[in-house]
Amino acid sequence: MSHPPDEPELVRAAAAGDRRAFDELVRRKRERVVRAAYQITGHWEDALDVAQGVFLKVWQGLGRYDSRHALDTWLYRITVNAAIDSLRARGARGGLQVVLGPDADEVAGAAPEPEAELDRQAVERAFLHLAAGLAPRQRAVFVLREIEGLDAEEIAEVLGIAASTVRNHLMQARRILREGIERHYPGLVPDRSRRGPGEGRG
Amino acid sequence: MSGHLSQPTVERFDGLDRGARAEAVAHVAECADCRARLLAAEPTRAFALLGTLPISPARLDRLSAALAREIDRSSGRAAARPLRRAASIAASVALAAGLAGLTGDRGSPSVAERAGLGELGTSAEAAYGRVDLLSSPGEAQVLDLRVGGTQVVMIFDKDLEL
Repeated sequence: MSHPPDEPELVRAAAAGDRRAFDELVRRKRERVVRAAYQITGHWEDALDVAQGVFLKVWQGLGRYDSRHALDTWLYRITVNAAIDSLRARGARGGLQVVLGPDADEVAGAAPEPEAELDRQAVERAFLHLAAGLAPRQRAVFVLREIEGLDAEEIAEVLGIAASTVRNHLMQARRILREGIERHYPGLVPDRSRRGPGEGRG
Repeated sequence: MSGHLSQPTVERFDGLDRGARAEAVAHVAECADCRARLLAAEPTRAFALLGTLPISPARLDRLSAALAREIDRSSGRAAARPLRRAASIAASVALAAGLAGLTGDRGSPSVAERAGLGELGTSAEAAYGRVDLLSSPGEAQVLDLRVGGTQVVMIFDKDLEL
């Protein structure tokens, strides 16, 4: 039985024009790209447009891709830049007001009960509401760090900025989001005094 | 992951490597106790859970389908370009050859022979005429050929590489 091709094999084949190899590469990476684009833009349609543009650029630019750099870093770089452009364009069109408008209270009411099973969609709505208050770069840094799990050095490479600047953006983003949680979504932060069974185990 | 997050894991959450962090987040998504301990230290960690949200396969398939169409479309356009170019050059060569006939210049090889594989500009020069590119990039391309006392204006697709 033949083993599935590894990533460098797929990249080489796709760079040589192999559409099947490229399709497989897209299949492996698309969820990550779409998720990052969505958390930065806050809109599915924008995220899918961004992702389509990202993979089109990858298809057209794979021949020039320097394999000494991680493919994911390149993908995130294109994704974040396109998503920030999309976010700014939507902001210029007044799109952010949709998120910050009257629906905010309704969204706040949907914050999950700490004792209940985690309502991830409510967490998502809370994030989309609060993240609209972040500058695009702060939002991108927060998404890459907290949701995608990249470390500061990786984010610095993706964004082409110093790691210290990444940490600064992250600190600012956390402060703004923390204040937003305390004000609008206190239910996201469980009362730890009522807990304890899991502490210290593991 | 077996059991709950250890206290050192909770305390060092920000310093965990990607694999250990992903494992901890996956556990916290299912375990209310550990979620409470993790968020007590930093409430914004709640948003780390968004990394575990699945994206609907229908959305992802829609992306792949749209991407495939766009690649096909752009490949088709690239393939059509040389065809259009060949057709235009052939037309211009034929036109220039006709013009050379009008000027009565029979002493040199025909323009069609000399310019058949050359640039369009060369074909006009071969006919002792002048070529002015009048358009700007991004507009339609306009060639103004003056051969002898005859002036011919040709308009080309703006994407045609002349």
